[in-house]
Amino acid sequence: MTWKSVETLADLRPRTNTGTFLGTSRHTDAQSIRRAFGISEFDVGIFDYPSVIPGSFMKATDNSAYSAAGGTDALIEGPMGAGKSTFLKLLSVHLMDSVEPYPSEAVVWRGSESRSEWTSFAPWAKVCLPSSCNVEARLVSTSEDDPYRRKVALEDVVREVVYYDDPMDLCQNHLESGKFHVVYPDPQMTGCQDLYERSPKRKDGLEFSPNDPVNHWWVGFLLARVEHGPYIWTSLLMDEVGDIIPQSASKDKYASYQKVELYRDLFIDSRKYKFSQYHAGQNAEDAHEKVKRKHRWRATLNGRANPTRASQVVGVNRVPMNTDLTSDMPTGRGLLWTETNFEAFSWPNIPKPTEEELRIHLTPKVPRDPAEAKSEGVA
Amino acid sequence: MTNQMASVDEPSTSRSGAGDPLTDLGFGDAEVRDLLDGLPDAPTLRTALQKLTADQLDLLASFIDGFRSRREFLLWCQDAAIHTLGRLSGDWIVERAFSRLDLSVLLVNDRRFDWADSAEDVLPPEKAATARRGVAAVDLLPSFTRSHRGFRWSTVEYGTNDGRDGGDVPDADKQSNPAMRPALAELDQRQGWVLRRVLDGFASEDQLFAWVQQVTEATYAEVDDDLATRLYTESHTREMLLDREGERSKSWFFRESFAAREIVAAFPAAAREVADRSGELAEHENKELDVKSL
Repeated sequence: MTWKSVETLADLRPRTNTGTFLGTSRHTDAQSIRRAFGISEFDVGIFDYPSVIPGSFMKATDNSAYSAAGGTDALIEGPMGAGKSTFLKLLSVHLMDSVEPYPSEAVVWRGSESRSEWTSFAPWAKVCLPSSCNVEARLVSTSEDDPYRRKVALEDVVREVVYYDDPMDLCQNHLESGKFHVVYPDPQMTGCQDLYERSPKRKDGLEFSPNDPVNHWWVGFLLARVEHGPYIWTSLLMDEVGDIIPQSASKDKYASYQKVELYRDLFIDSRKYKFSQYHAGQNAEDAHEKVKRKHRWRATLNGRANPTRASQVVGVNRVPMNTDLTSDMPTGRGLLWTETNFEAFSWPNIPKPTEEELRIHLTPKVPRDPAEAKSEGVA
Repeated sequence: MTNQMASVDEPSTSRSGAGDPLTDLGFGDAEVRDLLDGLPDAPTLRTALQKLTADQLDLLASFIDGFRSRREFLLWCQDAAIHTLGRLSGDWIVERAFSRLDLSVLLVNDRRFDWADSAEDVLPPEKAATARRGVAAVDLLPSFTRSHRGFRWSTVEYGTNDGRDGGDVPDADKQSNPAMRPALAELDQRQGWVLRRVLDGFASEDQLFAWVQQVTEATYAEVDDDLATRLYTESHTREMLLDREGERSKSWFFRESFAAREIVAAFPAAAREVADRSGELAEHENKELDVKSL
């Protein structure tokens, strides 16, 4: 796709003519995106070991898929510049797409205030924001010739903008099959504590509060999705997963460690509830081992040496590679592997429309406490 | 006769091109591939045997296709010595190379007439092709069987942990060494070299001596120890092997005959010795990684 006529993200024209958007069956978002970027349909027939790449990508509730029925996962490791975000975007397209007999999934992209690689898909995107916050979107030009920073209406950039009240509302009322959702977590943690108190997975000393680091909200999201559904095929794609479940998590006042444990428990249950999680990061070491041990698929992208011995990887009993295949790969290539087999793959470039970053700033509508309200001047 | 023979002295290794009526009588590659495509997928744990079979199939195919010249036939015999692990005997090679009738059957172009006393003695191409297949059935295939029989238990059996995808079993197609023995590959190269050198002739006696040393190595000393003595003291032989004026055409027939009787005949014994005593090397995964585009 060329973005020639697009000078700023506000110039993007939303794709409102797709079947996914109109509620008809033909010409889905995934097909539209594939056509725009020249991505071919996922072909399970090309793989030597279907349990590896198709096993991770394609799902089914019966045994017709290439892996155990239900949700899957992958832990993707690649250094800066390896094309990690692009790979996640490509993965999103294949997950949204429906290749008979495999279902079309709702893709949830972890939004973060400072990152916006997803804007390649802005004309199809549904951005989900917490209703507890005031939203301010800015375009920040990273071009040296023309640096600027200006406010923009998010509706001018993406196809849909919705506001969720809490994780349960998001899952039940806003996530749709075949759509690309960019979800920004709620710093107010609205509804998270309530979900937790109703959960059979309660642990000592764990509490959700508006003072928690905003990334803890994702644990609340998992609680809502895994325990309350709806159980439509859903995939969560998280870059920099070390931010969410850091190896360094301790039993601090935010119960970070306990939340990692809770995350691990929910991760294990995800498969049964048609929920897949793809975690990416620059260093697999950054993600907590309690969760890493549960990953069944792993990807090593170009520029990082794949392991050759099981002792090099937490939670892996056997590594099928006996030599380093990935260090010298060019950008856009990687290796997906399980304990039994591996397969090398490449992915196409999926360019961003402009050199701009889309920054989304969320400020609580209700001040956390009156003292803060005064100092920040929020009404 | 001499003139006719002189015209044959070109190294001829090129295969027949399209439109050659004789091509149709050659080895039926396509049908054989059809048959072998149906082989069971299960990995063969003794890969060296598979490799040996594959190379012997090539040997068989080029024999049935026939040869362009006696020189080409001798080069094939050198190959055959290696890939039958020496089970196709030196005597067999000498008999074929000195039999006018056999050569008129083995050669597939007009040169086959050069080897018969009269044109009536030369079989028509179809009959000659049948005769070559007869020789293959009587001499070649039994030699293949003997080679396997002598070799079978000295091959390495590759184990695999799970047995599902062949695991650590090397792929026969990826092996470059005959019977997976690097020592045989080395022998093959040395033998090919000494054979081509003698067919082309030498510039001086000293070259000849140095070559004899190489022959010794290339035959693992299975060559007669008085080779140098005879070469030097029999002045006729010496002159024929020397190519002083670059007039190779004068003595090509002698050199081929000499090479067949004295040199190529020693190759099988050498191959057999080496095959019996050399180590196996499994070549693994040097292939390009197969990258699937998503």
